Amino acid sequence: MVRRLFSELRAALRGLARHRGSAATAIVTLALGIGSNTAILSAVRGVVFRALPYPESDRLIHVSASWPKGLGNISFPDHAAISERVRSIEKTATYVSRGSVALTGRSMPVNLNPGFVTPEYFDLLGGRAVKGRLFAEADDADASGTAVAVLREGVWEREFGRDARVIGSTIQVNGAPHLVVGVLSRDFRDLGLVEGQAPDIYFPTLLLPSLMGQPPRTEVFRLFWEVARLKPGVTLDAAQAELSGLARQLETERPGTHKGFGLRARTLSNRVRGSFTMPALLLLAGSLFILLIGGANVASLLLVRMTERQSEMALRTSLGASGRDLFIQLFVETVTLCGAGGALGLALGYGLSRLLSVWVASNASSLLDVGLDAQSFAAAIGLAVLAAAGVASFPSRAARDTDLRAGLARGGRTDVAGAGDLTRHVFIATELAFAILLLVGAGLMLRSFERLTTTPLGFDTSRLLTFRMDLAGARYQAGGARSQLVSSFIERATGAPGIESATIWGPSMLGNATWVINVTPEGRPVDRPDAFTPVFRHAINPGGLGNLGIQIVVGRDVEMTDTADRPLVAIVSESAALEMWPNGDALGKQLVRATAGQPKMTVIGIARDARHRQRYSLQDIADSGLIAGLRPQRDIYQPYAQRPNNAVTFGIRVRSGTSGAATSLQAIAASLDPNLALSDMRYLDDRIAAQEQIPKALAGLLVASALLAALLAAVGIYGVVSNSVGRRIREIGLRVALGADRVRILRLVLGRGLAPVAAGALAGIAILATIVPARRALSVDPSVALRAE
Amino acid sequence: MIDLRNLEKSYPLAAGRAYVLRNITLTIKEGEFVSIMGPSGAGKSTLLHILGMHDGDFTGEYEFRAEIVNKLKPRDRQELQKRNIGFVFQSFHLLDDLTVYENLELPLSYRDLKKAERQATVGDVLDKFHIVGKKDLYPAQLSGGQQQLVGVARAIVAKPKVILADEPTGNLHSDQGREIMELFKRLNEEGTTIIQVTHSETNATYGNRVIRLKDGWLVAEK
Repeated sequence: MVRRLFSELRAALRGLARHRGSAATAIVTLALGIGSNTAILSAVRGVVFRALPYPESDRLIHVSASWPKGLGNISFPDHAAISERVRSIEKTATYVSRGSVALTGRSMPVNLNPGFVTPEYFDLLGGRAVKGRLFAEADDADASGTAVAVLREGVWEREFGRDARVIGSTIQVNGAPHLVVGVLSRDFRDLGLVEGQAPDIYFPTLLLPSLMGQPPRTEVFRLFWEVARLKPGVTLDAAQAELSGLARQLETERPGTHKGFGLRARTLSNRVRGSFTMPALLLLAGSLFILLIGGANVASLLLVRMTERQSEMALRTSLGASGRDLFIQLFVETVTLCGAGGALGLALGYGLSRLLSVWVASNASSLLDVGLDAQSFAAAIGLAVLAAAGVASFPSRAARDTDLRAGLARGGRTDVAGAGDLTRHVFIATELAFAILLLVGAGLMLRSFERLTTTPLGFDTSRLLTFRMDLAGARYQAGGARSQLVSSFIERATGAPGIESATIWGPSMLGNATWVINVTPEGRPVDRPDAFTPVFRHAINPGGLGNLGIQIVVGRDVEMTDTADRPLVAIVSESAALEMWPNGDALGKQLVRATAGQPKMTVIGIARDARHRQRYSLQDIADSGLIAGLRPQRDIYQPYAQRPNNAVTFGIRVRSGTSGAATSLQAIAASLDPNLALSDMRYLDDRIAAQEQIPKALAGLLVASALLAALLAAVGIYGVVSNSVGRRIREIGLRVALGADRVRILRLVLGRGLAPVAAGALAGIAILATIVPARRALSVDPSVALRAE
Repeated sequence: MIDLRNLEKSYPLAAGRAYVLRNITLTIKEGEFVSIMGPSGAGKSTLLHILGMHDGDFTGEYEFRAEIVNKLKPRDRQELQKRNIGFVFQSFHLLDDLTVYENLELPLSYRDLKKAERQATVGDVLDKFHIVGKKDLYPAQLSGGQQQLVGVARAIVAKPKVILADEPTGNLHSDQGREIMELFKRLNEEGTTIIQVTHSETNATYGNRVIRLKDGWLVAEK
């Protein structure tokens, strides 16, 4: 049997070499289908199914605070309550990564991203010390004890040359001594990667006040991410039920801060990957379409060959070949062909997978591992074998059904309608329907992306150099000191050569987590859970909105007279104003904060809407499926002098043709305070381009899939029509000899070729006509629909 | 060797049936050289394909070497055919992708013979037909006569008891045709039963018996 198979294999290879044109078409078609599927399958597996790189990651959950108008981070006391009271949770940890700290006491201060964590954080996520130790419970328990820090291996290498003496010694951070207790392995994937960069240096959470100028770990500061590991055998639903119970208790116990408070548990995997799942599945669907179309094309091609070989099959039968002999012969031939396509496809898939993996790690999230692993590779091989078996079954079945007498009688004549004609036409119609679906889907997606990418941000992004300044440490403990320094910086920056304008933008940076406060018009009942509206908070300097190009529609801008000793004022965006004062009478009204004890603010102006955070995100695409438009962002602007946060973001408009602006701004900062460093400096347009890279790449991949599908469908149609013409050449010649003109011949050829094309196009359009309204029906907001009544 | 009793073959039509063979009763003994003749549409090729067990869709009885063919399952019928019958076709039906050697080896490969055995048998046949020099050529590189020579060689390579030939010289000019007929005669003399369909009275003279068909009926025998 083995010898027989080898001999058939030799014959099959010779056959492929002899019919190299059609063999190459089939091999390349299959390779494209299998290759794209291998890469996309492993990517989807990586995004949707592969375990996160943490021990027992299937039991890890992420807990958010849930409010009537959205989700948010939690406070430290909330973390403590979860830790102490929720029985279904085995261990919890909380962390926050924001702003920057300066490594001082050296010739130039170095900015580092800090992470503030509870000691359980590393234990929960499998962090490992390569030198020294990680945090112990005592490190985060007593504020009067030694301030400790853990370095990330990369920083230990870059800043300290892997000097082991650093461990156990004291380093200066923001001008204060900190004891380095250990070095964290570089292979640890920090959860900060979900929203930005991983920290360079870690501190216990109790150092937040001293290092970042944050108040102590109280209820009002909801900054923390909460991660937890469920006890074995506990379901997410059970944990959620317990967390909901705890939230109700907290609402009763702490009415001043927890009105409408809830807790929402998600698997950590869902939290990390949520926004990537929908695009990944879209890509998978597109890629499977390509495989189906490719497979149908190859099966169709083989059926054509089979029709041509009917007399050969009949002859082989008359020479003694059994049905099994023919099956083996055709199966080996087809498997050889598909094997070549599969091998090429796997190589292509491996290459694509590598490319995709590198791209995703550097542009999307290094928490996602989309590389080809052993299981994906096995799945890809399975896919290739399945495609081969599917394709191989068609000619083998056709061989089984060969009519012996007819086949022998036919001899060399091939102008008889083959038994596979209907099957092939069905293939072509199906291919075309799929291709149309993909093309139209990709077209719609492109249009939506175009609409998204041209959604105005509401301010002028050109030549806007953006960066952060973190005013931490004892020197800037008082708000006045921060205000004073920032005004001096703005003043000097405005006067520097090549600088057009200097603006304080607020505490957050475009693309990073945004500061949110909850407000409501004074006098409204606040006992309802949804009484407060969450708004993005910005701190600005006088003239700042004008510098950014955000127009004030009504009222006035922030002025120099809006100082810390004056009543608080605020400018609200049009959408926020309309939501809180639907009658349009916001000006002069008072806003109260949800947090007890915070002073009221008077609305002094209404500004045009702007998108400070980002134009759109993958989450928007996942939420709306790109059919609904983007919702406006609600903003509130306060004078920096009245709300002087220690985290400050600047937007410096540079005159065109200016170079060296960054250096002169660093010099200005150093002249004000040698320990002051500007960090994360980039032009805003570059930030926006980076943000839009993933959606654009996704759109590009989908369009490429659709075009590939269309190309394959076209190859399929060409194959069927040219084969049909080839087989009817005698008939056509006869018709010409009998006087048929060119138009009639053309009609004859087109009639046969266009029938499956028309059927496929109609099927595709019919499916689309059903899907689009169905999709819209699913996205209907019942409250909006009922209001329209 | 072959016994047909009241054999009939027909196709359904909208109004009744169209008969191709009517009430054929015929005996062919081992070692005979039979020519089936008759005008076009008489049913000659249909009869040949039934004798060759390509077509099992008939009524009446067909006995071949004590086996009742019409009662056999398709697989057993094919096995019986494989063991006993070789075919020669008017249009040669050599496989274009295979060399002369491989075309000859093909029937043996379907009979699960070992490679050495196949090589020896094919070598004998190549020698017997004086075509050793052509063994590595493809059919397209041979003349029509040479192709049919290979066709006959292929028919006998598996040592069948009967050779069925459907107008074996139909596509050959007279010299080539004569050569093939001489070959059949020799094979018959060596013991192989030959049944040929032919239009040629001359070719019929190589055999020892002629059966004439007309409109599906057996009309004469001599």
